[in-house]
Amino acid sequence: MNFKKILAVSAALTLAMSSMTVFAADTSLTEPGAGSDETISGDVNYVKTTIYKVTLPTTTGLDFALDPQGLSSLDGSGYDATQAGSIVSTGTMTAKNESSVDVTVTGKFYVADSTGKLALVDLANKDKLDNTKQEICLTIQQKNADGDFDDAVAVTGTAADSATELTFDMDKATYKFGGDKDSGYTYELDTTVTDNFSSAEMQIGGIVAKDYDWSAYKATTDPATITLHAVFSFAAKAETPAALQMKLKDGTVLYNFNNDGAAPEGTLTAVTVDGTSRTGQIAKGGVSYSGGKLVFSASGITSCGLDQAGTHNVTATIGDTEYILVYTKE
Amino acid sequence: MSDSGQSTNPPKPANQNKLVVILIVLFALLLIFAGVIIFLLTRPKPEPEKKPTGGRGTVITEENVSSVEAEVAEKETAGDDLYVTSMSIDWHFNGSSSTDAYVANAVENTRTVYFDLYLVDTGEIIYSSPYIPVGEELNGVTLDKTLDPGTYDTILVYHLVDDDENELSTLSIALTIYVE
Repeated sequence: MNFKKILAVSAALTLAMSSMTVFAADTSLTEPGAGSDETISGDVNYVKTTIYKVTLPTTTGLDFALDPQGLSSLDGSGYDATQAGSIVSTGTMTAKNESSVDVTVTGKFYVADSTGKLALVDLANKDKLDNTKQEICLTIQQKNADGDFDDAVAVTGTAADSATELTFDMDKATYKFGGDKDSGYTYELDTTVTDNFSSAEMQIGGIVAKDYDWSAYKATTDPATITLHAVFSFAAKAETPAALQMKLKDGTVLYNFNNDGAAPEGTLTAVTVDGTSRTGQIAKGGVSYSGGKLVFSASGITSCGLDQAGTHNVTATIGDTEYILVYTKE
Repeated sequence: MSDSGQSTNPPKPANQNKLVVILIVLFALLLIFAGVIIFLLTRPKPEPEKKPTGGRGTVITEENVSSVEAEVAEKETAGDDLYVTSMSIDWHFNGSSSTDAYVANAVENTRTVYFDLYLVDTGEIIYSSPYIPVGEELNGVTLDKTLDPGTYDTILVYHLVDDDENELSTLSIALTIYVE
């Protein structure tokens, strides 16, 4: 790493805010709206309302201790021969979600041992771990809503392509529109809400062979090492069942047509609203389809009459199949 | 030649000789100065200390049990154990440039970070960001190379560094990028 510049002199520098901001306001704006891009349509300033802000453990959060002799009090016991052979976390592994959407977090864990001889025992064989051999059963547990740790997952992968997976969901935080028509609108965390986040606490545990000679890992020069690796990913929690939904530009899910559970695949080729063909709106961007969602833009809403109060019957032909959706505007 | 045998060339004034000497000395000093500058600018920066790329497993012994327990007890806060990611996760590239790649170092964090973007298939780093201090953000990314159109699995590795640019911890995020 040479000549790494400070971002301060980069043209890409901006002050980070807790929200995604829009460009300079148009004095004709009167209100914000939810969208996937920052756009202005008429007097509505649409802002991105899918914002990701997820706290995850770093490598030091994944630090752990192996206590073959039961010497430490890290497990809350003090010296305790009955706790000999335990593995405990020494870092903090709490994940937190402050995103504007529910998220699914996936952690892929694997253990790397410099000697290449460490055996990783799975949960099914935990009670059969040979205390005289170079064996461990390293687990990761997640605390549930009741404050108890769920069943553990044993990490048995030794490389990225054999990693052990742990997946969990976290609820979204509360967001609100900020800014004004003069300075531009934003979408930001609502600071009036206390504890405006959801969290998932995790811990490392397990057992280590208590009678094996672990001196190679305690050497003062070139000690052997055991490291726990993790690669995380997160995305908006998939709405289940995946099906055809109709959304207006403000993000409102109006109708969830529950078909066989799979999002329809194919190209949107025809649309009718209240018996009138609106297929022309497809080319104009007034209506589009992607991943199970039929989306009407602001202009499409107006053009198709969906801004009028009442019940509207919508059909959408995707691939070779016509789907029926209903929207009631109050 | 005159009758006295002396040269008819008039002797150079002493001041002119001094001036020549001064100029030569100054030129030599300038060359030395330029050489020093070039050396300083082109010498490789010492590689900052890198931490293990995973959580470290420490075997407890009678010799280290007190120090390990003290180290854990001294952690009043999560410190470098956690990092608040604030980023977009759908990165689309037109050639090598993306306008929807966004990474911020949230104000809740306490460390400057930079990140490397690796291709999973080859392990090649295709982008290394500048340092991003707390409270600042990076909008848009231009890769170090142009990839063929397609979808690529990458890993974005955040590196948390101290004031001396020594690495304290890392966080790896799997990210799919789309090259159009």
